[in-house]
Amino acid sequence: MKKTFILTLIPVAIVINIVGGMLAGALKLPIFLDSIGTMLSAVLLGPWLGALTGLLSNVFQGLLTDPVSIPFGLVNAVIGIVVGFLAKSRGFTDYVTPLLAGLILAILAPIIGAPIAVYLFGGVTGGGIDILYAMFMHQDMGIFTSAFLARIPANLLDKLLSAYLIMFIVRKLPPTMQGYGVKLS
Amino acid sequence: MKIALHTGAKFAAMCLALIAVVFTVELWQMVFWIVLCFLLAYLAGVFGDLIKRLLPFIYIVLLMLLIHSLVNPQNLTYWWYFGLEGLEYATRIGMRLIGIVLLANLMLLTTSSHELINYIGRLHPDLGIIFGLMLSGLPVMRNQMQTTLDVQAARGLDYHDRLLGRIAAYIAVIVPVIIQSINRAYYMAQLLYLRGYTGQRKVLEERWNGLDWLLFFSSSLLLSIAIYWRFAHC
Repeated sequence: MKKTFILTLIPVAIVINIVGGMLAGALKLPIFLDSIGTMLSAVLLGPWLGALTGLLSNVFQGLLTDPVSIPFGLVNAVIGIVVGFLAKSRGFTDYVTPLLAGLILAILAPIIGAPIAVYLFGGVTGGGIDILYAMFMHQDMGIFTSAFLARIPANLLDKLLSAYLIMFIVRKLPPTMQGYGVKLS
Repeated sequence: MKIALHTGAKFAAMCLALIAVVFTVELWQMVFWIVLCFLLAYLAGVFGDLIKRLLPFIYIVLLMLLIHSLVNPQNLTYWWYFGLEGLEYATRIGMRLIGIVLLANLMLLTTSSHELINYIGRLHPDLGIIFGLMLSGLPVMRNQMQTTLDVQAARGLDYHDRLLGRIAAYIAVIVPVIIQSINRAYYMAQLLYLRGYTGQRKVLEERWNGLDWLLFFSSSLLLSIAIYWRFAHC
C-alpha cells in the first residue's frame, strides 16, 4: 500500500506543479508557482522522493511541451531535498518551518537556476524580471551576479507562498496521510 | 519510403548531438547544426510544427540581443548605442539555444507519446506507470481547475483586480484542486493495491536495425568532430 501510494502521489504532484504554473499564467501573476507539488511530495514522502518528483516533473513536462525546461529540473530537485529534510527534522505544521524553507530556497534556487539560465538564455526570461536584470547589468554588476540578484525577489514571494500553502494543507490532512509532515516525538 | 527508427536509437543520437552542440563555439558550425535540423525536419515532414515550436524562442533571442547589446558590462566598442561585444556574446548564446531547441523538438515531434511511454517503461516499469498516470491525470486536473475557477467566480471571486487580489484568487482556486488531487492519489493507490500491482513486468528488448546503427554512428562521428574542433583549433 505504501509503495502504490508513492507511485500515485508522484504523478499527482507533477500534475499539481503543471496546473499551478498554468493557473499562475492564467491569473497573470508575476511569479511561477510551479513547485507546489514538489513541496507537497517532499513533505509527505521524504526528501529523496521529493527530489525525484521535482526532477521528473521538469523532465516529463519537457518531453511533452518544452524540452529546454529539462535542465531546470535540478532546481526543482533541490527544492524537494531542502523541504524534505526540513520536514523530516522539524515537521511541517508550525509557522516557522515554511518561513525557513522560503528563505533558504529564495537564495538556493537562484544560485542553481541563474547559471543554467545564463548558459541557455543569456539570463533573459522574457518576463518582467528582465528589466531588473538589465538595471543590475547597467550598474556593472557582471552577468551572473545580476541574473542571481534579479531572481531573488520573485523567488522569495514564490517559495514563501508555496510553503505556507502546503503547511496549511498538511495541517488539515488526517494523521495517517501526513507522512513526514508531523514531528514524531 | 517510410523510415522507422527505434525510440532508443533516436534518443541516444539526440543526446550525442546535444553534447556536440554544447561543445560548438564557432558561428558557422552552429549555422551548420541549424541547417541540418531544418533539413531533417523537412525530410521527416514536421517542418511547420518545428517552426511553430521555435517562435517563442525567437522572441527570447531577440530580447537577449537587445539587452546584451545595450547593457552588457563587457561592452567596450560602440556602434551608435549598441555594444559589439555584448552583441557577439548574445549571438553565440542565441544560436546555441536555437540549435538545442531544434534538436530536442525534432526528436520529440517524430515520436508519438505512445512510443515515449513504452520507452520510459522499458527504462524502469515504475517510471512508465508514473508517466502514464500523469498523462491521464493532466486533462482531469485541468478541467478541475477551470471548474473551480468558474465556481469561485460565481461566488463572487474577482480575479481581474490588483496583484494582492489575484494572489488571493490563486489560493482560493489551488487549495481545492490540491485537496482533490491528494484524494485522487489515495484512491488510485488503493485500486492499484487491490489489483495486486507489484511493479514487475516483462521487459521487452529493443532490437536496433541497420538504420538505427547508422543514425547512432553518424551522430557519434559529428560529436567527435565537434570535440576535435573545439580542442584542436581554438
